[in-house]
Amino acid sequence: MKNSKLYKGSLITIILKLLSEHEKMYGYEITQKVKTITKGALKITEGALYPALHKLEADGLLSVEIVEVNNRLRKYYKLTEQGNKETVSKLNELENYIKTMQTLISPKPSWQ
Amino acid sequence: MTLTKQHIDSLYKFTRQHYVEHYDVQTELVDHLANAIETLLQDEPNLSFEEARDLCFKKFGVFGFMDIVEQKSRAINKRYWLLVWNAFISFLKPPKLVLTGLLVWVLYLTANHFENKMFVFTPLAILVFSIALISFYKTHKQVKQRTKLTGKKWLIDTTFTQLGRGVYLFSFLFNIHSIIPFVNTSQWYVLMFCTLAVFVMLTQYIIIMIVKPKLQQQFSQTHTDYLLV
Repeated sequence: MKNSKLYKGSLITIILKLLSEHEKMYGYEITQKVKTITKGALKITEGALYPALHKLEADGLLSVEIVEVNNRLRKYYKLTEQGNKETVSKLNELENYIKTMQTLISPKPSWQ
Repeated sequence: MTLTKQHIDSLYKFTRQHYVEHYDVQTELVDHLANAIETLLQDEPNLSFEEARDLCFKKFGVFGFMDIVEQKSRAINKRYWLLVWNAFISFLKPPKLVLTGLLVWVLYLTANHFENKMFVFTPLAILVFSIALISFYKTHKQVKQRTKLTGKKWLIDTTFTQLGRGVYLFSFLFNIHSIIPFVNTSQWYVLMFCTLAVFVMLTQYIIIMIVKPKLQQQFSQTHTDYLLV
């Protein structure tokens, strides 16, 4: 992941957001989607993605479905009801964080 | 280009060579590698399958698949203990709280029938330990049978066999008291020990009768190759 220290904390939110926009997704698809949307600026590494997916699954935020595709088995992830709620909460959290950072980085000019 | 069945089999072998012995973990990694290889071969058709595979594997970093396996194992263990905890908490809330209270009370009354409380607690400790031993043996037998029938090892089974040992820890804690005689026999002390004993037995019941079957059932629904033996 590019500039991993800054993005690391947002990986879970990115995964949840993508899954909220798609019925189900598999690991490789998530990495490619992020790459496409950000035009290559953000690359999720395999070593970061799978532990995050497995953690979300263990926390009950994702459910899995295994389907046979192209001679192999594919593990799809989808949001559970609890996952949907968590997505909203995580997105709000991230938006607030971005706003706070913007205030710090480019504060509005004061007239005093 | 879509990879053939032979390519996929060789990828399973490749993951095994890189210390991923569990089928439930291999499956996801094989699909990931296969997707990455297919994309790479499309962009660079002159590469051989093996060259493309090695290039894609490099993206997993210096430790390869090892980190993923370790993290997944941790995630399963977390889920396991979360289920144990939730079930345990349910025994401390109504309506199950009544049952827990009743068990403590019955044990307390029984213990008070004897001058030496060890007449009650020692057989109880032996019972808890024996159940743990039987459960551990049965789980091992079950896992062995499943591996033999399917030819596959499952990470979730490792969790059952390894975390089943958690029961031993409880038994051990319980057994400590068999060694230390009751020096302080105040009623509060006896009641506290009865409560602890009931908690140990409840945890054992939850692990063997609730969490293990529940997790196995859930897992077999998504992984059709996982046989419930």
